[in-house]
Amino acid sequence: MTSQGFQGAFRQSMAWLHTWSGLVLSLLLYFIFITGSFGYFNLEVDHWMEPERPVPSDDRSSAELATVAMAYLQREYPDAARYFVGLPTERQTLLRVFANLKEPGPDGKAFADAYLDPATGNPVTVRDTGGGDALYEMHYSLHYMPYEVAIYVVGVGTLFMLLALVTGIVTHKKIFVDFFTLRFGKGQRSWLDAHNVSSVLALPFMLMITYSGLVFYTFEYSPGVLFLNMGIDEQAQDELYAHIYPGFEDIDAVGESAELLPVANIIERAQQQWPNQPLRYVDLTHPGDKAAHYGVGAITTDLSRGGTPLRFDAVTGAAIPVAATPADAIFSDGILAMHEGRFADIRLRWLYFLSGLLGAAMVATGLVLWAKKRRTQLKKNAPVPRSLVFIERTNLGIIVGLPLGVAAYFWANRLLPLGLENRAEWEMHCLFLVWAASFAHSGARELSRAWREQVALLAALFALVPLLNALTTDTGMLNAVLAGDWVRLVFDLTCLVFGICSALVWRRLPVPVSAPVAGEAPVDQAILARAAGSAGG
Amino acid sequence: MSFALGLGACFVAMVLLALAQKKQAALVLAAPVSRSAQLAARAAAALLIVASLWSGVDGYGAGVGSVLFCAWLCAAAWIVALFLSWRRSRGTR
Amino acid sequence: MQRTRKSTKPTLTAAYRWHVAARGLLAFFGGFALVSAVGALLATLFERSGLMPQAQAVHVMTLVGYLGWCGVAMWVFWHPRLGRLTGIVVGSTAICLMTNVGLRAL
Repeated sequence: MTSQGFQGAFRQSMAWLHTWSGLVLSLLLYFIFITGSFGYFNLEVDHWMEPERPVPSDDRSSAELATVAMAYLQREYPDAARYFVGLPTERQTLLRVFANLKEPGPDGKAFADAYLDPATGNPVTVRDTGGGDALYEMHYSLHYMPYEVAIYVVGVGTLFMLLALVTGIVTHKKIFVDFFTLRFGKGQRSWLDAHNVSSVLALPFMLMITYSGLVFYTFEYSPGVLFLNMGIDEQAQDELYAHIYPGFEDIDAVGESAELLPVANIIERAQQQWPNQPLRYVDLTHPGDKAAHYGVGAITTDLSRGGTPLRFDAVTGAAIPVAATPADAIFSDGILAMHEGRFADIRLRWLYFLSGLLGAAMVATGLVLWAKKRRTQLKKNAPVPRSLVFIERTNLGIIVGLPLGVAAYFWANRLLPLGLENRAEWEMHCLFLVWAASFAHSGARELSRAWREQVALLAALFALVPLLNALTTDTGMLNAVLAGDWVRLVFDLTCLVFGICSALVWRRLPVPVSAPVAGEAPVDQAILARAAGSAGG
Repeated sequence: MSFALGLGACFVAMVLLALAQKKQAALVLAAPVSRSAQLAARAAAALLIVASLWSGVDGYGAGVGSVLFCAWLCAAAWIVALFLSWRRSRGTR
Repeated sequence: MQRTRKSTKPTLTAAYRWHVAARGLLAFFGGFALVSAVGALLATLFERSGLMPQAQAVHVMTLVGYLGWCGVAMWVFWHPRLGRLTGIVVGSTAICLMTNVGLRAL
């Protein structure tokens, strides 16, 4: 903001800090907001990206389904340390089965998992795809990077975000006066309005999502207090985690075999304790052993990540007492549950999703605002600094490029040959290739043309998703309506709406007037001003 | 039902708050709002906001209820802001 | 270190860049060091006074620490004199660390 150094003026210092803490990692923050938003619909996106999945039918009871799934697991993996059965829910319509193996299987993995059709009990084979999970997992584990490194990169980004938010609040001069003010078509002023409104009117979400992002890796990001007071050995960490997560203590196998109660019996007991809560999973640890025990979890309706599970002795059926969760753990668990929106029904889920996109809009408008301010501060006929040209061009690559990449990810899901090796990974490559191409294109073309072309492409790619889906699968909109497959229908419609919105933005981008001056690409002031007009609508 | 109620209460509160601001009220109302009417609108809005929080906590428990309350507040504010900016664009263009 | 403080010319000198980098490093690492030291000391006090068990005190102070870090980082970019700032951050970190070690040895 200023190059006059730090003079101790609070508002100026904080404005400077706001600008730079927001700007420096803006690409990362934008990426986190866009990909993270899909976490609120990860299972729905999975359902769309795996068109082989049958349309749900929920006429079998939890006890029946659990029996079918446990029988499948015992048949396929007789020598497992633990079985897990995810029961169908409103969002996850298949039976999910999972086994922790005692010895790694032929593929070298110490676990095996599958989806079963609840109607038949047979495994469902779906295409090799990353689905919604791969998309949203990138918001904390990035891609092409080891997990251990990625979480720290994201952690630094989150700290910058926290700083940008708090400094943004303390420097906002008229937070209440401007509360509802969103003026379009007024140049830089409009961008400021859009930046303010997108952050202020979702401020609880922004603060919560940023702080809770740090809480996910509490002791990875800030191990200082732990190390200083409890030491750096593993025992200290075990002690700490036993305190934070009671109810998950290991019970060792005793090595004597025993006859176990059938899972249906356990489900019945759980339903007696939780008469109004649909069950989410049942697991069986040490199957066949005398120390075997079942765990049952319900769909969370309170502010917690999974709720405390019920545990039952698998031989006698007696309930195993679970220690009460301490207050600090209830707090951190609640914070994390808020981040993930585990308890959210479909209406709140949509608000979460839109808030996430608003976060992306906040970063994007901040970026454009920065460039715009630099432009207006330039003296007449003064040379345009290379840094400004660079930022203006990368802004396009960031703001439009990533959504283009996401569209490419969906297209790749339908168009890549089903037999392709590493198909899921290639879907991801498509996302990043298209994103990179967007940067290259915005660097090579005259900027206002590049904006028009990329936004037009974005509109086309999203608006044509329903057509693509109808042509390549039998889950197109018409079939979806006939089958009552609302998730796939709404996915198609959402893409269509997003495409139409992009087309509206495109219409407001001005047609480039003249040929660019050799070398330097002048940015038409009107482009940014008019795009501001479309950004919120 | 309490979802719609809570959101509705927040929405009315936001409308009242917007009307209590001179420049926003000018976009919707013909006559300027008097000082006492502004005060009354703000007081009513505050009551409605408290009522909305109460309905969230009552219907969904303290934790989820307060999250829902924040979501309602933001969503309602957005609807009002977008509506006002639409009014403004019709007025000035 | 305070060269840039007096200069009011809006130019991006190398000295200015170094000054900003120094503040950035102090805010980031100094902030974490200070927050960890203060947090550890407070956690020890909570624990020894019987207010909460050790694991809980450590957990609570780490969670609060992130907000504390944010405050320290803002203060580092606000305070005009970098030299004094560094002294305060390093000094109070050291004092808290030593007090904590002393208390825990009791």
